[in-house]
Amino acid sequence: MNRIKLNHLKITIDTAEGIFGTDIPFQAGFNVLRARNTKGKSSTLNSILYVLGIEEMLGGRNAKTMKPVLKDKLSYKGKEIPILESKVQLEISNHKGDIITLTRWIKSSSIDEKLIRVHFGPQLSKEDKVNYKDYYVHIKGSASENAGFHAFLSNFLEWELPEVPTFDGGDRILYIQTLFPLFFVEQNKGWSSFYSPISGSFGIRDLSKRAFEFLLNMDVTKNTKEREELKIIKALLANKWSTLKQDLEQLAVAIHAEVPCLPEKPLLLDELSLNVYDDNKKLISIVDRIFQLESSIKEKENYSVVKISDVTSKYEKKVREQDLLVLQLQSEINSIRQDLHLERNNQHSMNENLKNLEVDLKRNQEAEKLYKLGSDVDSSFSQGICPTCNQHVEDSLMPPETSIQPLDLSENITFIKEQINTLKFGIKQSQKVIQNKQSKLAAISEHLDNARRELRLYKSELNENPQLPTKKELDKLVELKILLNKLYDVSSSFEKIEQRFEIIKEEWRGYLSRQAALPKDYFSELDKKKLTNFEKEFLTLLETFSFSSINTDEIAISHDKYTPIVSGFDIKFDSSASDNIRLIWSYVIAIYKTSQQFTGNHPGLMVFDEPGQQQMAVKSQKQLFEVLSKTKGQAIVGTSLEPEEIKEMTKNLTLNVIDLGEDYIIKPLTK
Amino acid sequence: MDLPLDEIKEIRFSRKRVPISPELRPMYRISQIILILHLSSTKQTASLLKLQLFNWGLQNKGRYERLLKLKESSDFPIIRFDPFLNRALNYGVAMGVFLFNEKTGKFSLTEKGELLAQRILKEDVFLEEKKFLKAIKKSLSDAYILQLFKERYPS
Repeated sequence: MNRIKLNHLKITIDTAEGIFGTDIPFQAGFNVLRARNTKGKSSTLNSILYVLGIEEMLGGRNAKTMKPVLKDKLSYKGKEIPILESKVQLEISNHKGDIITLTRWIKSSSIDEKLIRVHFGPQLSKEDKVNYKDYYVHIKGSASENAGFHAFLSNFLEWELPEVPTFDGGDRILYIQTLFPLFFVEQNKGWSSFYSPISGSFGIRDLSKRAFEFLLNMDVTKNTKEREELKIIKALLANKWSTLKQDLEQLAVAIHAEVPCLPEKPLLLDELSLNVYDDNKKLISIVDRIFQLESSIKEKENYSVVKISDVTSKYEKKVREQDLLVLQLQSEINSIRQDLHLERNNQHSMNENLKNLEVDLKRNQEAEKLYKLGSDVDSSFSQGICPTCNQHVEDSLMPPETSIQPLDLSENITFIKEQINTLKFGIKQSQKVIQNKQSKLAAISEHLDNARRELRLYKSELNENPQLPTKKELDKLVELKILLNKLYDVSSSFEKIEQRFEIIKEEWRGYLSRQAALPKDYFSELDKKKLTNFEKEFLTLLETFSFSSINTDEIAISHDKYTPIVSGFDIKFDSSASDNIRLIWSYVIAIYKTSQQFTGNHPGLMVFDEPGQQQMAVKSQKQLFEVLSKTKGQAIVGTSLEPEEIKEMTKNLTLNVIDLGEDYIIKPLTK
Repeated sequence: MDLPLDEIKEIRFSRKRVPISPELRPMYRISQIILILHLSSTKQTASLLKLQLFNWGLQNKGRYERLLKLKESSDFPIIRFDPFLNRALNYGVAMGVFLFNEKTGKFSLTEKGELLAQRILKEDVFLEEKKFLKAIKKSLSDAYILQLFKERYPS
């Protein structure tokens, strides 16, 4: 698919001596624009860039990038004529056949040089009466907003320009200007590198790579962006997870409950649960505990109130039992307290160790800096060489007789860091143990208090009037009800936490599936195919053009920069001047061909200004013409070859030769 | 524990490299001596006794105070004469950062040592040590230290 076709270019210059200019019709396919050297051929080709608002490729912005002959004064028949007003017009069509005509003024007393007027129909090949609208370039928003010309142009060409990362950490649209160096080889800078840098501060990271990826419509740009987005989502989820964890832990501490499974990271847990201690000090889920309490309250309320005289013997037995229970609980508490104490000591000593290790680490890192300092001052200070005999010595002050071989400093540092990590882990674990023990201690203490209270009650009731209803039973009932209310509260907070947990779980699942959809490698399979195809096309073209500096078997395309490399190093632009030119021919054409094969975003236009640089062999130029005449896209070559030479070189080829003659291109226009 | 001794054909022992304290690294210790000579010694020259005393003082921050108050208390601490310091001095002389004067028995900084001192002062290392040595300045001379030492250990 060829996204753009240039139909007609016209430069119009108003002077006191009449109207000057030039008028060039282009055709689909291969066009040769022929003129004598220094007669304005490059000015003409560059005016295409100007009217498209891409003049940043010429090293600046606005009319100052244009030659004086287009804006100050022109010479005609030995006379200098001042220019009153000048403009460039270009008629283009897109792949649907829509035609528009662009007009941009170079010099005008009334119209700003940042304005581009778009007529929605042909104006040059034939003059239709159509509407027009004014757009702007080089103002804020010209790439993205309504009145921005480049936003209009990318829309017209159906280019969906991606957002790409910038140096300041944000994203910015891949400006249309940045694509042109890959298919428009301009005479001044275009022949010196694969991607001649554009002036203007775009602030985009790896600009040439992003442009290349866009033209081949590679997945990489999209995937890189997706990766960055996923990173942010992951951080966000981790944050949510840790707040949820904190809330749940607080809730658990408040009722001496335990959370059985709560990983550091938001893994795909099936469900959350909250366990509390029951009457037998066993952990059961909070819901079960509530059921238990409810039924035992019901039971107690249904029973008729027991009289003391009925229960004397039972009570005496109970007192004995309760006595035993209190003792048991007491000893249990003692042992937990001991454990806690031990664990706290343990944690304390680990913390001390950590402090010492951190000092050690700091000193080791200082030593590393000192070695670097030393070797900066004098290379003989390097590690491991004896300054006297230049033989190997261990990096230690210990006498060699001990034959202790110390670790390298860097290994030593790694060793200490690992120790620190282990200790940190240990401290965290111990913190958990302490927390759990404290919970347990609190729960058992409560049990002990209850047991003691009951014991007191049994004892006091045995002493009281045998006819009274038991106070103990009433007390117990109230106690149970209070506990039940507390559990209701906690259970409802827990439900809210569970809801939050479900949401996080869903989001995490979404994150994981997006993560899984990304290709494992940096490049997707299709991207790899495209790069392989590009490399093949590039090498075939090099051979066609008789590239000879390096054996083409040794050349590959770097997956890092997308430029040719020879055994891992960039191809240097110094071997043979004419071979450098062949490299650029092949590079530009290979991008087009690959994009064509994989329906990429290449505009289907290639412009070469003076490809016959550096005394290029006629044979090679002939090959270039042949290749270009056979490609499906539009190609425009500016050349200063003699008309006979062109005729000789393009025998049997389909092409459109535009010969601008021997004189200066800008001449009086006749209507 | 049962070992499958029948299946073991040979046993090899290889010496593992061991982690050591950075104070045992020549460059670390030499840099410390350079700082003592540069910041706290007149004419950047000091006796072995002084170097041993300061070396002892720099081992941990708790000892800084002892040295800072030495003039008031006149109490020469019980110090360890560190053989590693001697080895570091030997190393430094061989590297050409220290000069040993056989007549006076004192060590001084060479030009190379001075260059290194300037670099260490600029670098982000030995922050505590530098602060301490800058505080004590050149207040403890070789002669004074020797005098205190002799008072404490009359031989």
